Amino acid sequence: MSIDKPANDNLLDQAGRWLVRSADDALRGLGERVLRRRLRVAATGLSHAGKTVFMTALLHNLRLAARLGEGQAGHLPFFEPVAKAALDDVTLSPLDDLPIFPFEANWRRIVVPAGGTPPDFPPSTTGVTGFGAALRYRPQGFWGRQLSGSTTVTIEMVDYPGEWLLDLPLLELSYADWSAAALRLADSGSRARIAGEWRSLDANMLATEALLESARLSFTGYLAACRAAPHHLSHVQPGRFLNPGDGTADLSAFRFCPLRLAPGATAKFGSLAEAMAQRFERYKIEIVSPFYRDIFSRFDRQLVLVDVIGALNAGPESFHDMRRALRDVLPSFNRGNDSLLARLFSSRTEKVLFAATKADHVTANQFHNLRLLLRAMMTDHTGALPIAADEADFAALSAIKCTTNRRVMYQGQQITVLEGIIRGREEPEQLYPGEIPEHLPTEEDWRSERFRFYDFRPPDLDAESANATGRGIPHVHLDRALQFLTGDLFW
Amino acid sequence: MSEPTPIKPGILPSGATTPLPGSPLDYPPLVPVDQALPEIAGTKRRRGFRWGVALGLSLVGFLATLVTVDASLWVVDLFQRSPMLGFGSAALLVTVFASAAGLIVTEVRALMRLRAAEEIREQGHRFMQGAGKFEGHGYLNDLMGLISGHPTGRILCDRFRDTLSDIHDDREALQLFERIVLRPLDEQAQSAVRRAARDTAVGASVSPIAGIDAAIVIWRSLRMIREIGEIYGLRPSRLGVLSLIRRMLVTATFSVTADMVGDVIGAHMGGRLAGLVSGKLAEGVYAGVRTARLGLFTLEQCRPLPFAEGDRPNLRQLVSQSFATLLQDAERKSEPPRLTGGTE
Repeated sequence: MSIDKPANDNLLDQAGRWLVRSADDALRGLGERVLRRRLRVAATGLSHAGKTVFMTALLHNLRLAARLGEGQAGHLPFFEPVAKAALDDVTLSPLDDLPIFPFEANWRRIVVPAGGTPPDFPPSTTGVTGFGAALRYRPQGFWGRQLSGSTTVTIEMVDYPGEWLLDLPLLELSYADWSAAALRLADSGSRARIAGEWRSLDANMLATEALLESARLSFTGYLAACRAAPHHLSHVQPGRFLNPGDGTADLSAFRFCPLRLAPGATAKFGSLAEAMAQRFERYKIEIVSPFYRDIFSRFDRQLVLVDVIGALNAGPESFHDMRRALRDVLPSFNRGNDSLLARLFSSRTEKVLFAATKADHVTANQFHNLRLLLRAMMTDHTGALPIAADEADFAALSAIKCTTNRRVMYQGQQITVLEGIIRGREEPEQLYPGEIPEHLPTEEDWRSERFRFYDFRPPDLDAESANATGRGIPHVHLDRALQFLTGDLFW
Repeated sequence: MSEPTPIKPGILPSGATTPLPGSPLDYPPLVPVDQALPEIAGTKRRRGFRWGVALGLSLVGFLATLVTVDASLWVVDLFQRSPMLGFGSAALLVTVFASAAGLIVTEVRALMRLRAAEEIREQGHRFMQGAGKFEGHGYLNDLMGLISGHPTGRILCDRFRDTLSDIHDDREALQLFERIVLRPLDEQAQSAVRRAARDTAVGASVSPIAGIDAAIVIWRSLRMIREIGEIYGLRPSRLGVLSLIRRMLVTATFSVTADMVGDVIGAHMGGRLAGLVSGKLAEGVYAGVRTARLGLFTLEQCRPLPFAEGDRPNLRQLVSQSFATLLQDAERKSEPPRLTGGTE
């Protein structure tokens, strides 16, 4: 990442870099888009959506899928290469250009926890990490069979912090616009109760590096408080403040926060307003643009995990804040529009899957509604999505299925309940998680306190049997997600 | 309909619930298909006196009485002549009645099985639409009960249960069932059709007399229908095959689609072309094509779920495959024998 490069290098350098990049893109296009043997898939999600768990479960299940016996589809029956028993071998290996995703440590924690401790979810990662899975398979289609008997597709799984997505809309905003919007937000709802000395800063004060740094710290503290309990807010912008990433040692571009600016007034030379406007522009050029150019637009497919269940649990404000964040982020995925982003760089991302995670917190008959609710969160008042439909889809997903659905008779009614071990407890319990609305929840829904979903502990997976029979980690629709994101490559 | 009081979400006290059976994951299949019978008997009946039925019943009753009385008188007569003869003939008579009764019971049960299978097929359409619904578990048990009549079916059903998860809705479950259980059976059924088409083609082209090739075609087709029925777990009996044929004819008559017309024309044209080469061979090819056509109809009628769009087996392909195997066989036979031998 070229984050610490000076912003204003000369035109020749820029042209040179553009040429190199174009040539690189063209080569990749020739070698891979024609034959499509390598696919970079991103998994991301807003705050604790479970991308680490997703990557771990996916890689582990893929690895086991190649060892399936005759007539077995294991845990990936809706992933075509597995369904057609065409998968010969899966090799997992780190990626050359990215830090290693801690796959081995993570799956051990889920599948073979150390000495007597119950299985647990892996800790979440910060920054961009990746891991590759090379799938050798026998082509099943007519042309594929003619071309070769066995061929390999490499799926490069990359995870990056979802908060960084929230920075992309900044590219189209000026400092004054962003400042006004951020202040409006900060004065509303429970955000207004989160104190911070950045609120009392005067735009006309004389800017010093120490003052700017204290403003950054104060604003970062405010953003962290927004995201943490009890608020659980998702729209934390700029997202990079909370998670600068490993390659960002110099935080001088981060030294800005929203200021109350007089409308139409020009900032005085040397004032805080002027300094912060400059830092804001630097942040866009040095932090956000490289992220978009070098990371975001280089993914062939993206999976965005959304913790809808968590937002419903946290209440109306958190839910609507997540909705605001999603709707802010969504246009960045659109390749066809003429937004500033799309004009500057062409993104390679062809397909985006938005997935409501932790689907195992509700009964299986609610998956359909969960999916519809996620979609409803992203549509505008006319029900339209700001993204082309053939590129985006919605799903209910759970990378680890911690619960089992049971049909039971309860109080004279036939209902489906969940059975699982609630986190922090020992024994499996049955619970009725209630229903997910297919539309945005109404005032009445929030008042009735119908949303109370419990977190569960991962099930005990005996490592021995999991490896021997190729069962892998049970999940909800991981195979369908994989099929949507990568299925077209396996001709 | 009064709405039941909504249950408050939350943890349920332990022991407050009673598990409900019916998930294919919890229980082995093999629901006796006979259980579906009362529903079939409850269908509408035509009112009023029916002379035809009266005639048939009285005729059967009359003949049965005649035979029984005559036979008993005859046995009594034999007893008077010699007890040995009497006992022997009485035993024979009892055997005759017992086996007749046995035959009737088997046939009727097989027919009822076929009817139940028909019922199962009709429900399939409904459950295929069931995205997000979880009502088809009992239906899946019925399907598996049908298929697991033979060892292959049991293995396939076990594979299906191995893959199915409690999060799969009706449509997903049926998709999995179709892919895991039905596709291998489809292949077996198609190869049964291919074999029959090949046999009738060969039989018709080598038979010296016109009557014999017709007999070959009929005998081989009946065997094929039986085979296909068995593959899909219908276990058709003699009457069952007749009923299958009737159903097939009705479908064939009413579904004269463009595809079928095209196929028949194609078959005719193919026949003519072959006729230029050899009249007898053309007859054989034509007979083979007709058998294949019949086989595909039977296959669609016996399959417990309708074919998905694009998965329907194609007559042209099937016929060309069966004749390709025929040609391969012919070539192999015309070659000098090799040491490897035993190709069939």
